Amino acid sequence: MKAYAGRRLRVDLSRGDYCLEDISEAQLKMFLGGRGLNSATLFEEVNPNVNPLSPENVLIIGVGPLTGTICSGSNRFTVSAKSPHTGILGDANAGGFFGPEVKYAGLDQIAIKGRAPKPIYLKIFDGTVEIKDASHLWGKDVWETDLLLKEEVGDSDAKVACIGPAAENGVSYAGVVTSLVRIAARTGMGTVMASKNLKAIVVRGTKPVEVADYDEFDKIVKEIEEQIYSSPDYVGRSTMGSTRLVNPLNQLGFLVSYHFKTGVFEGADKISGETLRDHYNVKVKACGSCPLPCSRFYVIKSGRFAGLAGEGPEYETLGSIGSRCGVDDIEAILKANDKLNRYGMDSITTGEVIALAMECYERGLLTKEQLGGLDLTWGNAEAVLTLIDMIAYKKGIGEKMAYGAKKFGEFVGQGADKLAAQVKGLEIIAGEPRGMKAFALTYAVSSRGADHLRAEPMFEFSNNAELAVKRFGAKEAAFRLEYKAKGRVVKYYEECAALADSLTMCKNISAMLDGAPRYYELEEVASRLLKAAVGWDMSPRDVLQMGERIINIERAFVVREGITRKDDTLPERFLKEPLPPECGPSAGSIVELEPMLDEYYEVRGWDKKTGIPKRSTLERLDLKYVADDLASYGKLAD
Amino acid sequence: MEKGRIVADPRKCTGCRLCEVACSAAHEQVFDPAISRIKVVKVEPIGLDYPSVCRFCGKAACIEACPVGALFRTQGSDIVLLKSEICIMCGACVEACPFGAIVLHPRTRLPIVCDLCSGNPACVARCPTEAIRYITLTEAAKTKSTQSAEAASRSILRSWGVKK
Ligand code: SF4
Ligand code: SF4
Repeated sequence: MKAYAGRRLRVDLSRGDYCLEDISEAQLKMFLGGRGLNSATLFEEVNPNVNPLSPENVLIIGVGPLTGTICSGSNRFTVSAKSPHTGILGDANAGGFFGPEVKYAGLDQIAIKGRAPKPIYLKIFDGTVEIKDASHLWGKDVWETDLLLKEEVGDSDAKVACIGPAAENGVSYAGVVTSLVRIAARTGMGTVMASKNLKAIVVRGTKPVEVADYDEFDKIVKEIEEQIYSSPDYVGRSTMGSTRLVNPLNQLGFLVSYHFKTGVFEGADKISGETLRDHYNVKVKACGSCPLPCSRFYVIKSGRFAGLAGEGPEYETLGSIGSRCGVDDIEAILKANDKLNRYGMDSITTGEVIALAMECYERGLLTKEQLGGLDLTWGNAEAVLTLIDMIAYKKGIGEKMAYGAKKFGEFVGQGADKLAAQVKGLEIIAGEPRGMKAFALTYAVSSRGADHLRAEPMFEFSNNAELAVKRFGAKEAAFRLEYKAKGRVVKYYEECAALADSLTMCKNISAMLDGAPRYYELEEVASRLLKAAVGWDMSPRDVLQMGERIINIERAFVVREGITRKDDTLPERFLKEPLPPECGPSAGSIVELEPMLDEYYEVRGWDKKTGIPKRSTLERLDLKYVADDLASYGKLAD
Repeated sequence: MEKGRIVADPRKCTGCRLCEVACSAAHEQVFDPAISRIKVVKVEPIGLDYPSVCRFCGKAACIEACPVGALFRTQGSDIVLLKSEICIMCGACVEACPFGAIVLHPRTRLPIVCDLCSGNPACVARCPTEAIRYITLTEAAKTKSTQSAEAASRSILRSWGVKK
C-alpha cells in the first residue's frame, strides 16, 4: 500500500503518553483518509455522552493518500472532534504546508485525547514524539506562537498548527491556525484544542512519499495541471482568488448585505478583489503543490493602518466582516482579518454574530447601554474592530457573543433568535441562499451545520442544460434559481466534496476539474489517481461510493446526537422573506426547501419523515455496524 | 560558452514548493522536499518566498572545502559532482556553501546539489509562474536591463505617444 504512511499517532494527554499504531488497508479502503477517516474514528470513539470540552473528546488530525505528493492542491489537513460550538460533528480543514509535513513525518492521522495538567505543545519530528511545556506560550497570539516555536525547536522548516487567545479564552468558534493565516476555522476545533491544554503541534518530517506507479501518477497530475492552466477561470482565480467573487455576486443580487436584509451592497466595489488587486496586493501566494496561486500578500502603505501586511483575505472575510455588516472600509476589513488570524477566530461566525448584533441594534432589541456605549450602526468599522477584541477576550457584550449567533440571538430574545443566520448552530457563509437553491439545500443538510464546502454545487451556475440532463436527469440542475433535481445535484457534490476532503485535494482544484473545458468527473480522476498512487483497483463507482459512505457515517454521527429532519432547515427569513426588488436577477426569491429535501432523502436512501438513514442503505455501504449502533440507541429508521 | 543556470525571481515566486517536490521526484521518483536540490526559503510574516539553488560558482567553495577531494567538476562543466566512494559525509561542503545550496541527504548522508537534470530542469518545468528560469546570467541581465530601461523611459515613451 503506497502513498499512505499507514500509521496513526495516538496521544493521551492525561497520562502523558503516546503510541504509534498501524492503520489497516481495509479501513482506508472504506474511508480513504483525511476527513473521511477522521469521521469514522469520531463515530467509533466519541459517543453522545461525551462533552465536547471534556478530556474524553478526541481531537483528530488527518491527511490523505495524495497529501505531500506533487498532485495539485494536495496540501490540506482536516481537524475533527465533537464540536463545542454546535454540539454535533465538528471539523475544519486548512491548506498551507502543515498537512504534507504530517505525511513526511510518517503519519496519516493524529488522535489526541485527555487533558494535559498544564499548557503543553506536541513536538513530532519524524518518528519521535515529545510533550513539551508551553506555559510560556499561553496567552500569546498565533503569530508570536508560531515564530517562537520555530525558534525553540531550532528548525525554520518545522510546521506549526496552533491556537490563539480566542481558543484559550473559550470562544466556542476558535480555529487551529497554520502558516500564520491558514485557519481550520469552523466549528471550534481550536476551542477543543485549548480544552486539552494543547497550545500547538509542531511537525517536521523528512520521509519520502512513494507512489505505486510513478510515471502514470505523473502523467495524470500533468493532465490535471493542463486542465487548470487552460481553464477560462485561471486568470481570475490566480490573481484574485476567492475575492474575485464580490463584484459578480453583487451584480447577481445575492451578496450578503446588512445581515441578509438585501443582496446588493453599494460599497461592493470598494471591498472587491479588484480593489485589493489594484491597490494593496504585492504578489500572489500558494499552498503546497498548488499551480493555482489563489492567495495574495497585501501591504497597506499609508494611512492609519500603514505597515499592516499579510496574506489574505478570502471572500468570506470580505463578505462577512464587510457587506454583511455594511462595512465598505477595505483597510478596516484587512485589519479585522489580521486580528482574526492572530486571535485564531472563525471570520464567518464572527461576521455573522456582529451583523446580527447590528440588526438587533437597528430594531431596538439591543441598547447602547447593553453594548457598553458602542454605536452599532451599519458600517461602523471601528465598532466592528472593537467588538472583535471584546469577543476574543470575552469583555462586556463580547462575552455574550463568544458562543455564536444562535446563543447570542437567544440571549437578546424578542425574536432575535429567529434572525440568527445559522443551521444546527453553525453560521451561514456570505452566500445568500435565496439566490442559489442547491447551496441552500447544502446549508440545510450538511453534517457540520450550515456549510457550503460540504458540497459546493457550482454546477447550478453552469447554465449547461445538456450536461444537466446527462448528469442529473433534468435541465433545471444547471440553473441556480431552479429547484428540480437539486437533491441529486447536492448528493453528487456532497460525495465529491467528501472525496476531495479525504484524498486530500483542495476544492479550488476539484472545482476547476469540474469546469470547462473538459468537465472531468472527480470520481474518474480519483479512481485513476488511487490506482497510480496506492495501487488500488477501484472503479469510479466504487470511489464515489466511498464518498457516499463518508456522508452516511457523518449523518449517523449527527443522528446519534439527536439530529433529524426537523433540524435540516433554514432560518425563517430565507423561507419566507423574498429578496427585495433591488436584487435584480435574484429579486423576489425565497427558498422552497421541503420539495428539495424530499428528493434529497429519497436519493440518499434516508427515511423521508425523519431524515435518518435506512438500515438497507447503511448495509449496502458496508456500514452494518453503524446501523447496529444506531439501533442500540433506538435511532434507526426501519 | 556561458552555461545556463537556474535564475530565480522572488517577486514571482508563490512559495508553492512544486519545484521542491518535482526535484525529489526527478531524482528518486518519490515526493520529499528534504532531498530537493532547490529550496524555497520562506519568511512568512513578510511574505517572502525565495527559491535558492546552486549558483555554479566559478570558484566553488564546496569543492575547495572538501577535505578528501570528493567533490569535483569535469572539464567544461559547471556542475559539481561527487565521488561517493571516497566521501566521508562530513558536511564540510554544506558549511562552506555561502548560499546553503548543498544539503546532506537525510538517509544516505551524502551531499546533494543541483545537477541541472541533464539540461532539462524538472523544477523549472513545474513552476507555475516562471519564478525560476533556466537561462544564462547574461540573458537574465539583459531582461532586467530592458525592463529597467523601459521603466526609466516611461515619460519619454508617453511623450512619443507610444503605448505599452
Ligand atoms: S535543475 Fe534539477 S537538480 Fe537542479 S534544482 Fe532543479 S530539479 Fe533539482
Ligand atoms: S515552483 Fe516556482 S512559484 Fe513554486 S515555489 Fe518553486 S519557484 Fe516558487
